[in-house]
Amino acid sequence: MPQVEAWLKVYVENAFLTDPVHGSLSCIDCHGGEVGELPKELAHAGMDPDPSDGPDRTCAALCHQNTGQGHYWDDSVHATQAGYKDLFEKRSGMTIIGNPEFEAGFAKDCAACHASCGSCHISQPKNVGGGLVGGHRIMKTPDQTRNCTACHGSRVGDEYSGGNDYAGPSAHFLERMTCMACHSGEEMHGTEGAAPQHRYEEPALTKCEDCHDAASGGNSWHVMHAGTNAENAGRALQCQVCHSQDYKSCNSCHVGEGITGSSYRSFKIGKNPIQQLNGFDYSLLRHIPIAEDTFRGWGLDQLATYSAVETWKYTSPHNVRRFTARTDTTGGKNGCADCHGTEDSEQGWFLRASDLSGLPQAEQDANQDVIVPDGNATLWPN
Amino acid sequence: MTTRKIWLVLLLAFAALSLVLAGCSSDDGPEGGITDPGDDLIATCEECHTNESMLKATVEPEEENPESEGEG
Repeated sequence: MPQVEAWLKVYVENAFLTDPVHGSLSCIDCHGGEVGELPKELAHAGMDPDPSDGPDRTCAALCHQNTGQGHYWDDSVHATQAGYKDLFEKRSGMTIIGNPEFEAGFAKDCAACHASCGSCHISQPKNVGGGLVGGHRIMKTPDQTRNCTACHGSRVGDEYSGGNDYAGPSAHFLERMTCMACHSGEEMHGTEGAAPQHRYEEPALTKCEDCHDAASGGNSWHVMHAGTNAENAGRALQCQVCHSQDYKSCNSCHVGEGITGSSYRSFKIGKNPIQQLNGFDYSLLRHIPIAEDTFRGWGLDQLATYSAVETWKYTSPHNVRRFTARTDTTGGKNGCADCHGTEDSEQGWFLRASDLSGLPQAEQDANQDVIVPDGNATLWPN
Repeated sequence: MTTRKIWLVLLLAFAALSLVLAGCSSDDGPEGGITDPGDDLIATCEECHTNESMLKATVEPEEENPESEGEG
């Protein structure tokens, strides 16, 4: 993320003031504050730097009601952070709402990742210091660098653009496709009434098959791995299992202290923990940074039901290509045995019991449902 | 030095001082200089937030780095 000079973060350009719609509003209509008062401390008394957020919800209150296409909805996970709360509650057996200590901790450590209308359409998100992006112009399409990857930078952004030295950019990046080519406003704003508890539950979530018809063209690899015929039922693979390059995983994290250790290169195929949502039997898994004592800074020494949710999570790496270490068959590489017989080790492509052996017992327990059996995959029971 | 020469020197010195003062006041004037707006000036939001020079002079740089470089 390039740093922005402090003055430029509050500089308003004529392009905004001459906007026939938004520029016709007075600043105070949205932001509050006191006209004619100097010094600036008096002028800014009561001023709200992000009126699109909080109780006033100015964008919705003035024009953009929570109905209709393209408008902000209360069901967007960008706004609700439902996934954060849901997983905390599953792992702790406790709720955040109603517990003042947890509410304060969430506000301090998690809420910076909450997005308002302005976080995408006017300014940089709060967690990178905020600041107007285009002189306060209301951008219908967010800025990929200063909005999207300001938050989704270390995994999604680096994977998509080839920022990791062990993997190249996505084929989509090389085709100059932006985030918005796949992720529509409907997906970002959320589907009214859906109330997803997880980002993969969003009904408007983009899917590979929205553009790519894997069933057409007679690709035998697709036929064998899509699980669409009786012989291969129960063996449907997420597209990324074959088409993703290696990606980044992390170790434990503690609120207020950050992630323990560096991120590391990984590629692990396992049983899909959200099979009920997308139908894939096997998917890629990414190790996420959560430990039993992650929330000790909130006064919670141990997550009582830590093992209730896997820590090797379903993931959809953004560095997909047609040819990868799994699909490149030149020179006789990657016959059946290269994948199905991949070694039972840290370097192997499947997540197995041996990959968990160095983890605490509670974390081993948490991942029993996503590891694959030992041995050659062609010998697994269905 | 004659009285006439002394007066001539004083006159030149006064003229030079006047030019210097005029220069300072034009730097502080409304043609783009930086000025303390004072307590009795009525200002609008736009007058401050569209004034690049004034913002550069008055908005204090942040001392702390942003909390995140994008963790997602």
